[in-house]
Amino acid sequence: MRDRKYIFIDMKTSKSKKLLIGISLLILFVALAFTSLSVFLSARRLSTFNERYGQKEGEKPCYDHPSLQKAVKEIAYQEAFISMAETDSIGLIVNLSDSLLQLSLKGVIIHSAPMESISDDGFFSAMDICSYQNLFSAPLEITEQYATVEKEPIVVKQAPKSEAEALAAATPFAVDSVKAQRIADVELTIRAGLKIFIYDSSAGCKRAGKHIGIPGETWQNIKRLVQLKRPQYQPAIHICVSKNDALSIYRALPWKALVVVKV
Amino acid sequence: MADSDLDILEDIFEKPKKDGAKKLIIKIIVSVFIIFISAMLVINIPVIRKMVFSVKGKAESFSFSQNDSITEIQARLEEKLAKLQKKSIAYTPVEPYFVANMTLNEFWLYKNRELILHGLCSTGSYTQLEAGNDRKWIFKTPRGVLKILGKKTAPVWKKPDWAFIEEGLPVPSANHPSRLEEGVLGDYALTMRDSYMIHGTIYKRHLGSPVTHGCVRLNDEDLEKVYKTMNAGSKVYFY
Repeated sequence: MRDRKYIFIDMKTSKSKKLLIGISLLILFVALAFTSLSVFLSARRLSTFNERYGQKEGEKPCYDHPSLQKAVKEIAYQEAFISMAETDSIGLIVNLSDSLLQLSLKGVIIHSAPMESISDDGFFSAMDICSYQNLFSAPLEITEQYATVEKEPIVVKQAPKSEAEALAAATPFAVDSVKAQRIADVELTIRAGLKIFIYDSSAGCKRAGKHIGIPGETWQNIKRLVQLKRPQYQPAIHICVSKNDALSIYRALPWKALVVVKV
Repeated sequence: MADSDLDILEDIFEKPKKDGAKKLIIKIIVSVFIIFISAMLVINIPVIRKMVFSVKGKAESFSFSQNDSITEIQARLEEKLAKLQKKSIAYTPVEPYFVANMTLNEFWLYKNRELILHGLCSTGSYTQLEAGNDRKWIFKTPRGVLKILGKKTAPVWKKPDWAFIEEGLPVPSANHPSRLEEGVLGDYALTMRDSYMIHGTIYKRHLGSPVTHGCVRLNDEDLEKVYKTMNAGSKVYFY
């Protein structure tokens, strides 16, 4: 009886050990496949991007030489800025080279916010200069906007029926809408599928970099994988500015505002 | 069975049991390690991607082939850049202009492209007043560029319908004397389109907060400077 019991326990532990290792190896395999697929898709996105926006015959010349890159990028920025200045709407300037997030209206810089931290995924540095020139020499339209705060904090008030009711309902002091608001994080999707994340520094700038990984894009891709969908990759810039700046910029931007990017 | 026999049997079966436990612990450690590596791989996708991008970025440069020399092209590009920069700067007026941030309720006054005054103001409260019969007003300052159309001293406020409705009072006829109120707009007013104004206030403690019906309120000193600096046609930027 005793030896049978031991043999049975031994068989059981042996099976569970094999199962444990098996499951671990399966997880490793899935992680490897997921990582490879994600990286491969990013690299392919860069290639398609360069093919789509790169130099084509008959288009304006593109000077792909290291000593000319600075001038080419500055010209692209100035052309995009002038093009945006010709419109009547407030536009956004994402100037990574000077670490400034600005608002422009008819070519006048009306707001300038210093970036407290910047992180990007390397996509913009890896783009070839011809793609850069063709893409960023014109302003790009915002296709989607999302924020943790309201765009227009409208408060609905019913008209009082009498003078006494009006006096009773009068607010004794003005409410500071900015201080009353929550953390002001903003997510903008612009044409060509580029993402701009603006983080409110009052909640810390370290999370700006972390959002590149979990629980940002990677987490979304894990969910997609569970739903048997292909992982997605969107080139992104993560910027951290003060709460006042994040809120002012988000509220000033029209839904389909134009964005000028300088990397 | 004798006791000694039982001891022998126990030795035979206890040893593998201990060995099995050891092996199980090792395999658990190995499994945890594998899962940890897997998690690290997934978490570090952005880092791996950045490495791939840096390699690809380097590999794809230097496809330059032109008949002109680099120096000539560089000179041409710099000339073009100078022209563009000149055009960009020209958008900013040399004449005085006023900028107001409606989120922070702050303003900036510029002259000759230099900041000459910065202070607090009050702008639209974003209140929607509903009076029934589909009558409603949203008290907000319009975003965009407006122009100063006129300048007034000792302005008198002609109260619109909503000012009476908001106070629970009956609305008088269009030219009724009760519509006119002196002193509430301060010493000066700069008028813009659609009856929007930059004027003074008796509610100075509210400066820095959004409390107005759409106009911009300033304190007395700032208003005087803005009034004296801005002219008819000067631009006002609201954002």
